[in-house]
Amino acid sequence: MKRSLAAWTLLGLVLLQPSATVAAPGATMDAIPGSPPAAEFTLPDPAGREHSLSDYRGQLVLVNFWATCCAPCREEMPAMDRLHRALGDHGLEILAVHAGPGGTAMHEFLERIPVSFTVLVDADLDLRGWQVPALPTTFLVDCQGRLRYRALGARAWDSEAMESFIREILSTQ
Amino acid sequence: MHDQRTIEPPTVLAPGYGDLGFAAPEPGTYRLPPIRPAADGDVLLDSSEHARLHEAFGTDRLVLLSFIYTVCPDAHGCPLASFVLQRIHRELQRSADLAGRIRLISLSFDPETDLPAVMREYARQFDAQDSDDWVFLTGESNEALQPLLDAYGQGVARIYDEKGRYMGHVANVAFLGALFHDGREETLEQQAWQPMLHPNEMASPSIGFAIDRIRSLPDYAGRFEAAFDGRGPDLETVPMALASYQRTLVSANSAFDRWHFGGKAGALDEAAIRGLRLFTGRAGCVACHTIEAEHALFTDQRLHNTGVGYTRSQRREPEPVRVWLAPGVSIDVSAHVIRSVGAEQAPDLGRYRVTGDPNDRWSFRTPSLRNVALTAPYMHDGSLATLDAVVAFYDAGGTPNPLLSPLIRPLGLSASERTDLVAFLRALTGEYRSLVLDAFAAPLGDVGIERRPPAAPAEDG
Repeated sequence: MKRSLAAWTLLGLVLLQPSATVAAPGATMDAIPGSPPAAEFTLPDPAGREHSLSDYRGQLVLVNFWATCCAPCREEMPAMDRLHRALGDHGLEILAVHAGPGGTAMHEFLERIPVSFTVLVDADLDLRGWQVPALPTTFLVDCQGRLRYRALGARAWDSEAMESFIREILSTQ
Repeated sequence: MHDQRTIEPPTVLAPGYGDLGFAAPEPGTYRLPPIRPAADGDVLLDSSEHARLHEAFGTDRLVLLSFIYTVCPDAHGCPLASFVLQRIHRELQRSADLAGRIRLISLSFDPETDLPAVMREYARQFDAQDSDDWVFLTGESNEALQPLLDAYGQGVARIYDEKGRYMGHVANVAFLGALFHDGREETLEQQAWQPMLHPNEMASPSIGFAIDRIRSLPDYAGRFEAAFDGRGPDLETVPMALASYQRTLVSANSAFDRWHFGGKAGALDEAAIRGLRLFTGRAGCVACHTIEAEHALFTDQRLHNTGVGYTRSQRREPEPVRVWLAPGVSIDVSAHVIRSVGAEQAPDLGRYRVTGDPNDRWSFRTPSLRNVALTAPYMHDGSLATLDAVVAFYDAGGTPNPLLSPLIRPLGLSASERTDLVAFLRALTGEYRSLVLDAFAAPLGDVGIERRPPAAPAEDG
């Protein structure tokens, strides 16, 4: 009896939120308790032009940490590109920080898989203030520059669940 | 409503990125392990040439040796071990003091995936191909690399099959009659809920909670209904689905199988053959780890007292207890402080828990020895770290106690005989391959379980 009550309560909550999706663990991103401010960085893109995270204040920013030697990172790039093409005009920016100098392997990869978003190079892996325990790791930074969500490991960035998850956050910004 | 699951504070697996989770201790404030000779062994260069590890070390530099794997289908991303080396590599290139004095070596412990060409490509990703400062090595095979891994204390468990599915210690469970260390369950269906509910495992607060959770996951939408004639996830169908999957986790075709059952000369090396003779002969292992005429599961499916459980029950807590906070950093804490914040470990009396018979105290299930080289640590409580320690334990006759099995007795093995036995145990590592989708179709033995799931079409292989 108690259980069915709980189930009805849950269903009620879901119904109150028309756009809600109950996502599988790992389908979207995990909330970061307390939404601490994201640490500022300034890094060059492959052409050498410098970008700072604060340049994107006011936009929703996915900060993705990747490297060409990491297979799941390479594999999620095309899907991340599709997500950016779908939501870039709605205020989503993606910064893909390459861990390590990149060099020829990264340039070849980006020639083969061109992406519509900005790739940055952290040649010395000396970014501070970002907890990256493994690659890929992706953070969602909100318009106020706060760390809101994190994804550890690869994701299907162009999945319906992910797109509606991001749209939902965009609509509240 | 966003997915409001929160995350634990992140664990830094390797300090490749960001700040260390702890302050590095000052030089001189910690004790280093004793200096020992570095073991040598056969490796493959990324040019496919054979070499000795010491040749790769060279004699002109200090060497930093890192054990890695390049392909990481890990759900939580790739570890950063090579990135740590990359940071060091860049520092070395810049430092006039250190340049040319230190050599980095990344040695793969997954040689079957990391062929020399793969290592070469991996090196290129770090701009380190043909570098004298950073060398990438692999092995010719798992077997060829094993002695090096042992010598450097690298416990490698290959727990994914060729499809990336977790195999772990559950390979061949289809053929077991008694489940859990105390043998309290007999079928995979019956035991399925326990790990989901146990506080030390998945810790679901109730079966209903777990079922609701499974129902809520889009991955399962409609799939239980399709498999179970319209029934969704419930008390019975969840265990049936899990058990049907577990029965596909079959591992066989070990060197022992190829030699003993397949008659392939040369499949077992001389040491392993001597080990098998001891196993079935003077050492008497086969009395419990049975080998039948046409198949071998290496367990009699019974429970025995070897003294391991008795030892545990008699063990006194060390006082104070050394607690490791980070590599190289430990503090000594009084045991009563630890008891005040932790749960007391419940006594584990083995079979007694099931039968209530005092003579069954400290009796535990004979485990299968298939893949035993991959399933360290050993004994029901993981109290022995290596196969050598296990063989030494049995050689000494177990731990005397009033209920010690009469089958356990001092064996009087020589050091080389103990080595031979370990060589034989290593030859029991099978291929992790799903031979058939429904393991019941495999002619490997009588499983004696009535409640079999509907037969599924056999897969290739």
